[in-house]
Amino acid sequence: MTENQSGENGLNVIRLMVASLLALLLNACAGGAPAPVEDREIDTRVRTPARQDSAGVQVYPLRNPAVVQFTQDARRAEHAGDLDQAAVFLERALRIQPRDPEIMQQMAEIQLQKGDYEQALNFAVRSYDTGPRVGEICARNWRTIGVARAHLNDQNGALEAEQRAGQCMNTRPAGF
Amino acid sequence: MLLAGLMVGTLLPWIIWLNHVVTSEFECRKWDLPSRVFARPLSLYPGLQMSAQAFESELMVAGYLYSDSASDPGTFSSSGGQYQVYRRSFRFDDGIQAGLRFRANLSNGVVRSLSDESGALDLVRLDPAEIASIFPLHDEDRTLVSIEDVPELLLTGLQAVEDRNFKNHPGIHLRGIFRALMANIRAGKAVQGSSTLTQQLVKNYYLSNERTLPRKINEAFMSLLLELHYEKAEILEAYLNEVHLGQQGSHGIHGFSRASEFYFGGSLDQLGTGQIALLVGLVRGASLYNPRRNPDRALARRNQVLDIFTLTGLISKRESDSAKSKPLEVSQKPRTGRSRYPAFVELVRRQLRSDYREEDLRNEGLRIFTTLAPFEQEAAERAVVSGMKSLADRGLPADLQSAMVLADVASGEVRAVVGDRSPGRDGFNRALNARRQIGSVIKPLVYLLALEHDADYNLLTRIMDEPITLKQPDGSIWSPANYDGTSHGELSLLEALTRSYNQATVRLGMNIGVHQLIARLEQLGINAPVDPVPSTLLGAVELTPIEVAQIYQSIAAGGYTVRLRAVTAVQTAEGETLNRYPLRLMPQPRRDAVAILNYALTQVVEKGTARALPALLGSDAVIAGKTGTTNERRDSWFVGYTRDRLAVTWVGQDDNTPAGVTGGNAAMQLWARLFRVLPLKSVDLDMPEGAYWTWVDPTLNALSDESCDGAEQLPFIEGTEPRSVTPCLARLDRDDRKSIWRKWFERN
Repeated sequence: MTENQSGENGLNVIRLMVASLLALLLNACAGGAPAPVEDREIDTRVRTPARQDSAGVQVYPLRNPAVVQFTQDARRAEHAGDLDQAAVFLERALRIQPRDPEIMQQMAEIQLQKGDYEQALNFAVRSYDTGPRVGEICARNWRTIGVARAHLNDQNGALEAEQRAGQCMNTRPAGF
Repeated sequence: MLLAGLMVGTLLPWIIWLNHVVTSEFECRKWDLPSRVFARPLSLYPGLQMSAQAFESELMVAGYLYSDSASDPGTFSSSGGQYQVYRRSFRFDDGIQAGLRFRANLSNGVVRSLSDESGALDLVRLDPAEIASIFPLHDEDRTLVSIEDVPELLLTGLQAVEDRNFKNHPGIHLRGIFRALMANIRAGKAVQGSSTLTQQLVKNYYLSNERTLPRKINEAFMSLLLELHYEKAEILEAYLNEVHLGQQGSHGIHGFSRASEFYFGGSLDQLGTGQIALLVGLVRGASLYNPRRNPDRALARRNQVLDIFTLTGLISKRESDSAKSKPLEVSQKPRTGRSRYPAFVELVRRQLRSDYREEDLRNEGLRIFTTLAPFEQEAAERAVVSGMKSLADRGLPADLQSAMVLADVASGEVRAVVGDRSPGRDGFNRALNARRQIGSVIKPLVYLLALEHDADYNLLTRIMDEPITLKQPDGSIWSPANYDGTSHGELSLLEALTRSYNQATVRLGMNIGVHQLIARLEQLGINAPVDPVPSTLLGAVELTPIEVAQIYQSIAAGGYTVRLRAVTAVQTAEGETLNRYPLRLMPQPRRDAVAILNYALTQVVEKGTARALPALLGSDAVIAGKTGTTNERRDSWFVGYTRDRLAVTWVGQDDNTPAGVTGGNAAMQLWARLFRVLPLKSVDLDMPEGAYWTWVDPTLNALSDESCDGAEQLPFIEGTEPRSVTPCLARLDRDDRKSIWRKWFERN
């Protein structure tokens, strides 16, 4: 399997996504996500609202099975509370797919939980830059950026990020 | 009485102090285990681009042996792209990984599948190659040996030559010292020494080399104290590992085991009688009897030692004669011992010292995990060696030097470093230490600053390539010329950069401000002093290849700067991870401008000063690069990158004399030799937020349409695109244009 990040493929994915979004809107069946069971910032302020922002539409590129293994390992480490180890797994995943927006966003969320807000911000921005700039991952990008900026005392920036998160379903991504 | 009191009052504290020095240092040094340095582990997964040659090279460097059945850990077999590998178990920084017997199927440069007896595997991580054993805090390279592993003849022969009474004396020869003292008194100064092995060890461990009486007295007392505390075998073992037997660049060759590797390319137990005699003879003077530099003297010394061996009954006359009839048997090139890649290992040392606490590095037997990719390192070395030979064949000076740095674009992990045209030579490491003018390699930063400049510049902005005369701060007049000696008049930013025109660049740079360029260099982590003079715009800045790699990492990664790193983790011998070097991103604020610069640098390769590159590579992959040549052809630089690999190459003369080189005729050739054997992935030209691709007519500097003649797609920062439109686009605009949504879906 090769990396699936070329502009043409990305464009196709986005077109597909927009098409499915239109379909969803037409059917008016975009249900909200289940309520969070945990009260962690990463869930209450990033993951859950992002699912709501994106109305459940996800845009994931095809994944390399080795990368899937690492991201799952990282998730397990995160749930076990070993954030350093989770970051190690994600770094290994990034060695295989260095521009994968999902891995970078996952890394951003790990950094957020570690309290390294600067790196959380940077990884989320990079994920947004290389990602589809639309859909759930876009919303997670901006939610993470917002939370990180708030912690870094950039309240205006945080507010702007919250707004951008809300726009992840209705703007044409720039750069295409 | 008073005298006795004085003696006790001064002597006793002094002896107690000496005792403390002797024991603490000996304890510390006696058990000093070197740190083990590992390459990055090779992770295999289906889809990985890897040639069979690369895979086998990785296995070989990691010490895997070819066998028919791969039935033992550390062996592999192969048949037509089908590999059977028995992976060894290994303790990584994230835990112990068990051994595994697996199959790998490679074809056409790609890993197709992996499996073990229970089925397909998504991922297999091999145990990493051990590339060096080092002492992070000192520039010494040792291979330690325990006394049981030392050949009998070396143990006895060393005593026969250096200290026949070692077994019995208390650390010093009283009679010998007395004799030396008398000789010194007669000469009026300290000229003669008579040292036991213990004294020699003490001298090596604790004392300077000066020949003074107080030092001699200290040495004698310390030797007595050492003998008091430790067994003879312990002292002899320490001596065998400590004695200075040669020099390689700034590294001392210490100990017999290391010297055996250094001079003969093998371990102690493989040495013949003559070789042992040579090593023993070197104790008297490693430099004087250096077998590579002074072979005649070394031969005489070896034979002298063989005579002593015979006289003392250690070997027979016949064995001695047979040994004497042989040449010195020294290997041609000094092997760098267990440090196969000295230039890379120097980077490891440097980063360890700058990023770790000294007390952590004092831990013995550290396990250091690095980023070196064995196949890429080997390929870089081959590219330099074969490339330099080919340059000489083409008439360039035969003593040119070279350096190369290869790094992963996104992570900044350094994959290979070459610091000398003979890569195994452990001398001056040009990749890290040669400060040379970088010439045109600096220009992309000038254009980057222009693109970032408040909406004033885009790639089509017209600038003038005309003569310019400037007064430098020292009062001198500076009138830069172009490489081809002519001025090219009005042209676009893109043309000026791809063709590397000096006059246009200086004019542009003067509008931006030299201080802006210097500030950017600093921000990118360049600490070298840079003069705020106009010639800086043309690269009158002395940087090392690794610093140039750091600057371009930032560009190649789309403005996501990371610090180049050679170390990923360090573990204590017990398996505790000391500190990790995590990946840390430092985004540049204007990644839109960086993305546009990336495109411009692909045009350097497509139609600019590096346009010969695609043919050299035999590939149509999109590659970005920049050539650099300095005044009077002293330095040749090439920086080039693909989507995932960035390499900097430099060629020039060590003494900075004109070398007849240009970026294209030398450094780029080496770069191409390296990348011919690496996977070539096209540079990523997706635009980040704030920049986009649009159709323009470059000659008219106007917006155009895909369907118009002469239209090209170029990237622009939003708001900086040309303001005028081509007549063709104006006509189309008048027509009933399709809605943007319709057009968008139709293009699918």
